[in-house]
Amino acid sequence: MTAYQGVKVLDCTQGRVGPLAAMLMADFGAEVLKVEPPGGDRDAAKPAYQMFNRNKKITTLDVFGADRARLDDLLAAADVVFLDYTPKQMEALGLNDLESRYPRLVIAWCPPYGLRGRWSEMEPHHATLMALAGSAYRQSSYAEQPVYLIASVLNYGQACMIAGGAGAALLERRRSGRGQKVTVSGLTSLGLVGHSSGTVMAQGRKPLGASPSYRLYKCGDGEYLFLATLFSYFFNRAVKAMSLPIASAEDAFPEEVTAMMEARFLEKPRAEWLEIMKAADVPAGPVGKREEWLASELIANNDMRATLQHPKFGEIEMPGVAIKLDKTPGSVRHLPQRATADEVAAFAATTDQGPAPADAPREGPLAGYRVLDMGTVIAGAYCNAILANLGADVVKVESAEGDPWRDRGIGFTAYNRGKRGLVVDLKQPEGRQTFLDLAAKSDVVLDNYRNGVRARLGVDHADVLAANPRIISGSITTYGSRGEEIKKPGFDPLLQARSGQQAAQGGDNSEPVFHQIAINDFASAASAAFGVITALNGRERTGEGQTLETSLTSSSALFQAGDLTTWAGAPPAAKGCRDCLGVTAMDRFYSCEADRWLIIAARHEADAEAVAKALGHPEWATKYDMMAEPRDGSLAREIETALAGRDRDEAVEALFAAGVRTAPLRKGEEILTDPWLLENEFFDKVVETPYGPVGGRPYAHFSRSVSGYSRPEPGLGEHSFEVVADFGIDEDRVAKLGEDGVIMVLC
Amino acid sequence: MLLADFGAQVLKVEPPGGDRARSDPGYLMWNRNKVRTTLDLETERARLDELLAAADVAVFDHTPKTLERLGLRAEDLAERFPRLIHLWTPGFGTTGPWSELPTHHGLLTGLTGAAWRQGSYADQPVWYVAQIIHHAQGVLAASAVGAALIQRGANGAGRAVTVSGLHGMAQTACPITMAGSPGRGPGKPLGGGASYRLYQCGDGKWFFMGTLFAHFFQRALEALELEDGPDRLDVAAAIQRKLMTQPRAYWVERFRAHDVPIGTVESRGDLMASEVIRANDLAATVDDPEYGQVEMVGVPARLYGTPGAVRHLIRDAADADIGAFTAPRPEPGVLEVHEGPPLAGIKVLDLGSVIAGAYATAILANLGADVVKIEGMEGDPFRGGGFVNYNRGKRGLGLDLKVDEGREAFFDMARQADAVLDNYRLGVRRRLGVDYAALAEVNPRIVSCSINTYGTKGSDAHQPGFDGVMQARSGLMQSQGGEGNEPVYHSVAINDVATAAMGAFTVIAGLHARTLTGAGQDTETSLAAQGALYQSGDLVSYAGRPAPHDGCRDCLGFGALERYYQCTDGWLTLVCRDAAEYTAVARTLGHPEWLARWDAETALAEPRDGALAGEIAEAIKGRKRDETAAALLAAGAPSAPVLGSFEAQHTEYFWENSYYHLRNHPEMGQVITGRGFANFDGMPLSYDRMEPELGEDSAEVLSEYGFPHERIVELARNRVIFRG
Repeated sequence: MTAYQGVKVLDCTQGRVGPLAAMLMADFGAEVLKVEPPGGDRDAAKPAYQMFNRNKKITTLDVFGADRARLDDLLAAADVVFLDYTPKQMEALGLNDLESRYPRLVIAWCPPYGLRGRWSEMEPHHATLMALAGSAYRQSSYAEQPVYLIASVLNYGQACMIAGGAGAALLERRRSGRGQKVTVSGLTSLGLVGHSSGTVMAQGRKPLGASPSYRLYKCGDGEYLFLATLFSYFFNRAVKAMSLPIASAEDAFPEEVTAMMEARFLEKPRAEWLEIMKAADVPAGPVGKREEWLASELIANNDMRATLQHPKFGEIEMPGVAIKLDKTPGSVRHLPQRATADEVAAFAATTDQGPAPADAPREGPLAGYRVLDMGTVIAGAYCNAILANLGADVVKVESAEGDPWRDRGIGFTAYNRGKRGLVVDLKQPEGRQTFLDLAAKSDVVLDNYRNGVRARLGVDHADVLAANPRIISGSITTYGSRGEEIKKPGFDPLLQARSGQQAAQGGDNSEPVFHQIAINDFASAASAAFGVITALNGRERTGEGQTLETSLTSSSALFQAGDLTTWAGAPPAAKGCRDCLGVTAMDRFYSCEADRWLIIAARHEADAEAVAKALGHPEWATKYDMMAEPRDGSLAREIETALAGRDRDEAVEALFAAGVRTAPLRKGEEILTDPWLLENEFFDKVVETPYGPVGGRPYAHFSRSVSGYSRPEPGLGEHSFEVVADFGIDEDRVAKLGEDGVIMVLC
Repeated sequence: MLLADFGAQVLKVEPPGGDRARSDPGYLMWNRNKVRTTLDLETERARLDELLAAADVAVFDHTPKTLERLGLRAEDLAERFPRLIHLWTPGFGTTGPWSELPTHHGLLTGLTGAAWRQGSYADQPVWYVAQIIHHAQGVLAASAVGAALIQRGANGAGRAVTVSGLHGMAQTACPITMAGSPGRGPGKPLGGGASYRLYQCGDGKWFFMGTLFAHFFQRALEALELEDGPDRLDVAAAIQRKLMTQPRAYWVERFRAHDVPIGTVESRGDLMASEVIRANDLAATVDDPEYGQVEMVGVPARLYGTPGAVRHLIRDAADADIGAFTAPRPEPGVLEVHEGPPLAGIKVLDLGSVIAGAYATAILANLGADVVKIEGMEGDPFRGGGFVNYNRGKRGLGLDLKVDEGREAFFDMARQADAVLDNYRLGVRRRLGVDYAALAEVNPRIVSCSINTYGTKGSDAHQPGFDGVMQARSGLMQSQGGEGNEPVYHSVAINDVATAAMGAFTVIAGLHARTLTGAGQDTETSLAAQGALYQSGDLVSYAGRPAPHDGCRDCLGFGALERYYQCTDGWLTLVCRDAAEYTAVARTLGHPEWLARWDAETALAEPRDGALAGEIAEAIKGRKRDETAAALLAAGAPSAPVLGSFEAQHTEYFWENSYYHLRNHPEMGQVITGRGFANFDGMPLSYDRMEPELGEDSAEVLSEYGFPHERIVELARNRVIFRG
């Protein structure tokens, strides 16, 4: 049995976001028919295409031409359709009234930028989206300039979000009988990776990391490691293990500690240091190469390498399924295959389900689901906050010490809104029993504890499944659940290091770069939220609960899937360099007057020629093979010179008018007052709730269901008594639990 | 007035017809100690220039266009009067769509987001009864002028100082949010958590429980005999239930016995007669031939060496007054222009914490002073929340004042410092041996300022206190709620932020006095003083004084023509001050029949919830906010949208007026804060660094204060100085 067995998904998307979202559902058994335009997917030649379209059948339709009616036939039969058209294309294709025409259909729309305005009409491009949303400055650089990210974090995030939204809408459809439109725009995806709207600026000149306790260090053999001592007890262990001339980190100024550590790390080769750190239980890890990641032991232990045979390319290697469900597992079955006429006809065959029910209550798509949140810091806590955003009743379960992230102020808020707070002492037998009694009435429990902690507390998967056979019991770990490393502490940047993300951004023969976006934490939160929704869909089919596991290791592969998919002789994926500005001369940031920047992201030769003309240098088109020019070659230099004294906005206008994909790199306060961002409701707003004001946007917009956070983050144990009473524990026992200090209010 | 209180010779130039606020009882307070002359600036410019030539400071409050038309901008005068300090206090900034609005507190609180900061029951903006932002603007302006005078004493050059209503707002309710994220929501009308809110007692009387810190709250629970843990679901409800069992007097006595900071809710009218005001000389009485005996708030700060005084009400200038004003004097010093903030070079030792004390020195830092925040091992208990705003621009020193070695180090710093400020509970500084008397022995030039809740005299002087407590006792809460109604807790910590501004003013006044006397002095101000000062207009009393405005539950304004109204997409402020503006409103809203039904005089006196208000509300509710406000304004009736903090953050007007500052914060990423509290020569003041970690700069600071390296190491080894 699979989680989306019998679900027909029509995938009308191209490139990265939509295809990946549909792939996530295909992995879990959905029947996906992908509709491609004549000429194929615009990314068909890229290795990533093989990954993003695996497990699918492909058909060709000219929807903008003769085949529009045939699209309707397929829509009439589909349960879910993925669309990535721009707002105007949606209108032109007459796709804005699908809800009324197909009331059972879940319409998952992921427009590349926003819902309004001219920038929303451009073809998708990750760096262009970053530029428009003011996020090109989120990465630290030596030259205090914008940085072009090699990792397309937002695209992967948007794919997980729209797939999760579609899955949630399917769950809601089981209750209401009705489909609806789910929208996650490119701008919405920024919300995943920021405290709020993503307008965070990086600290200047610290691409290796700003804090001595959390940064990259070069070792004696020239290799780099990442020291991820996020909490001071870890850091002080490192100080001790390295025999620094101070008793604890607090005895010296941060710059002094950094200098001491830099010098000390240079004294020994990396392997030795890693042994020392391992012995001292200090979170540290080596910087690895992206191209070696899929072959690594860690990936093998997470079953994250899949291979498929291609008739022409031979064996294609790609990441496997990042979410492990034990009862309705995902699988990698085949490369994209042409659909036969019979297969298309079978997809289009409809079964009469009668008229859809008229009205359904307006509530969250996950309303009625109860989640016990054992998440902490970012990944686990955030995953459950996403479920709360989608309407689940989430109870944050903490010990009396509380989530160590509580002292992060707004950082804690961001990952814990929408929850109620319960403090229960799981170390007391009565506390454990209380937890299991709550689990008996819950749908989901999900943690990101260090491996083995849940078992030690007696609330492991088997324990909660014994208490409630219908529960989804999930864990997000760092390294998975097999192999010798799983007991080690781990944090996001260790996976940035090992998975090759840092090396890929830094480029070959250069320093690695610490991503200020906690890519793998956010990746794990979003993919695990999709996983929980998928497991709940699976429960609808099997009637039983199951375990869910994922890891930062798996997420690091998923969020680089396009770059990791390869075969012998495949074109290599792009890499960055020190203070990276782009990947080619025609896909790059350029500086204009007054240190204001723009992006040129030409799509093909014609675009490149338009660039040459718009910048007053038509000769470039003959002088250069413009699309093949490197980011730091003579064409790039010439463009730099041509733009150096020009007003940014005027140059963008000229390029845009010439049809070039281009955008200003918004920065600082201009982000806040940018009319396009405002008209696209980019910024978080405070919503008044009965429990106080709360900021934050819907994770996905639903046309019929309500989403968004319905309460502020809880104080430590703020709702302890209310929660246990709500879960049906009788009054006398509640009183006793309080008296015995099993449950507590500590705020 | 603040400058006049402390001895400045102030000549007030009024237009023909007089000050537009002349009928406001507050006029008597705000213009005391001054003499007045009448000049038509349009036609009698030469006369004005004679006065400008003689003045040290000239104060203007015109809108940008009017000032330009009159040729009275700083740049218009600079060449001819290079030594003049030009202070400009426009109501709404210096540029942008709203800078031409007439000065009006309700318009200002609406536009700047203050109205949405206040908690309400009905999710609506709230009209402030107390004119808090205008008071803040006034105190900041006086401080900025004082700082400019100190600087001029050194270099002889005047400066162009601008302190607008937006600066007043930035100081009163300083924004602090992560860029792009929503700011704080409004508070609640009765206060926040169980430990810091209003409660009612069995006899119907209210008090504010100000147990900001856990140990105080624990004591409160003991006093309530709830220490075994009240109902955990709703502690506030449990406390409220318990309180209903006894009258307020009973509880007050118990709280006092347990040293719990509480404040009984009192009426504004009773404030001036209260012991705390009397004991601290915070009321002044002057006899006037026209008004008889006039009572008003006294001098809000005490400078022991050069005290201020309330000498007389405003009177028409005699020839002798003008003669004295224009009498030739030696010009101060060499004329050497300096840019940058005016207090550059001034060294301040900051023993302040929480809000009032910490924020006072943050204002000095904004004006350019080198401020060292000194904290004990336990640190400022207020780290978190608005801490950034109250401690920006400072460096951090962790120092244990309780050991001899620490006190010695402090004395060695005090030898070189210009000022020291604290807001310890009364008596603590003496106990630590670092009170003014001790410091004056090592540095007779030092200016010391102490901030207390209740002043230094009277039976409450030693009581612990927080802002909310004084909000209750000063009548601020009762007047906002309306006499006889439920009191209202102000979400803005009025007395704290007000006292911070006054603390800065006081230090600057002391430093300026030092340029004249050569000596330092002890000074003090209190939350009680500001609780009175910030209601100054309402507290002026004389026989036959018209009653001051009162608020009500979820107050929307003072009258039908001075009120917030709801549109389809938000709220706007509507203000009429005369018949012409009323006519414009009636016509613009398409109801000329109002003019027949209510003549102007009646309409201007119509209550906020009467028939006219109902008609206006009906006429506005289906309209769009921005276009309605713009239409009203174009027709000559002052109107502006009521903005929430989210909208304000995304509105160009505030950025072009340098209201906000977008900064990188090491912990929080990009944050938006208020930029600063004045412009000097057109440049907005700002902070060059964020708040320090506890003791972040200990070694650097001591080294700059001349401590040899070995001593610093020794101090660190003995844990006398430390980092958090």
